[in-house]
Amino acid sequence: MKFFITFFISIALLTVGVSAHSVLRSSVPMDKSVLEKGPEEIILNFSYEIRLTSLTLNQNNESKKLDFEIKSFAKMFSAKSPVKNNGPYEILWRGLSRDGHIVTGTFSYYVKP
Amino acid sequence: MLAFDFWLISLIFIKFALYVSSFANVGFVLFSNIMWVQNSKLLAWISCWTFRSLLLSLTMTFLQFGFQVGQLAGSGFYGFLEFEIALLLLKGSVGLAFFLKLLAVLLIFVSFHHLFFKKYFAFSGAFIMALSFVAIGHATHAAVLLVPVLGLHILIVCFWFGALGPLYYILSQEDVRDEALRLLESFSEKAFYSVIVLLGLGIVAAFILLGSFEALFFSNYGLVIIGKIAFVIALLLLAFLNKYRFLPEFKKGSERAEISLQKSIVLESCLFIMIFAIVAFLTSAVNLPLNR
Repeated sequence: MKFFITFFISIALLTVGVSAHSVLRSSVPMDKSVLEKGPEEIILNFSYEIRLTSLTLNQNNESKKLDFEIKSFAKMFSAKSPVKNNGPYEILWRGLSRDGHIVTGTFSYYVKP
Repeated sequence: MLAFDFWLISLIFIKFALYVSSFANVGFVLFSNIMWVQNSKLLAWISCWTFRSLLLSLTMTFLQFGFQVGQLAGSGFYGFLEFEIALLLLKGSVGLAFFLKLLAVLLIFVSFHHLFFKKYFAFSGAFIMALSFVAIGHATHAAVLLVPVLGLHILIVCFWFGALGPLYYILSQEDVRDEALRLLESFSEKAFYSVIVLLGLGIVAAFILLGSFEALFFSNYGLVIIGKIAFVIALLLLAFLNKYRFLPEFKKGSERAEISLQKSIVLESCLFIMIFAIVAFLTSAVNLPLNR
């Protein structure tokens, strides 16, 4: 029993190491970038076509759903970003790939004071 | 990086339970029909466990769909109620896999209650269930060749995994030694060669998915596949031990060999469960290399 518990915990921990591979090719703002002022637009550029289903902007404990226009499979999506205060921001995206895989990911940026 | 959240963790566990239950019921059906099981006590045991695993498969199929909707919606705990997302999933390969699983469960269930076309229902159910696992994910993403390769791979896994329970049961029964010997000999022969085919098909599938043998060693996805192959090699060693050591001793009437065979079956079951856990994780949380 102990062995099984150890095995499942190892599998869960392994996920953290293996998950570094992303379908997101690039983004504006770039991941971990430091900006002088908040971006007016968020752009996501994927490696292959996906159907984006959700885009969320997180700051501290506050999260806001962002509206994006394209409602079909595409490689690039953009959304208007509410210009906000300084601080760290995280964008969480979710989508469906053409082969039926659910793909998700995050990237972050920092707006200088 | 991937959003490692409540939905993704839940989906890995649901997929794992779906693998165990679905592969068990397909395996029981294949085992009882391919091995010509005649013993009434064993048939009753197989019927009972097939029914239980079918119920679990059905529950997990619905849970998996609901949680996939929730993961895609990304709008908190009630995300699984988003109708628009559910419709989007039903129209694609997720929907196809969902309906194929429901059809497979129905056919396997009917096969245990139909007297005349029992085998047709059983084999169609097993085939459709295997197909439901390759209808989604990497299989449709990379190459058409992957569908038969992975389909056959899954059917062999099911046959082997589904044989372990009935073999353990028959070994634990006092008065059916002849039937136990017949089933063990027949299964041992089939298992030994099937694991080699299994390994070969697995390597071909990995190569098609990754694009090169190099990627097997230098991509994260490839490294997890190597972990899976290590468990399959352990299975091959057990099959070798069963065929050339324990079974000949059991034939001579050794009680120690009977216990060794039972222990070997338990160990094989554990290895299968670990492989299912790896695959559930692999197909949920790890992306293929960017060029695929």
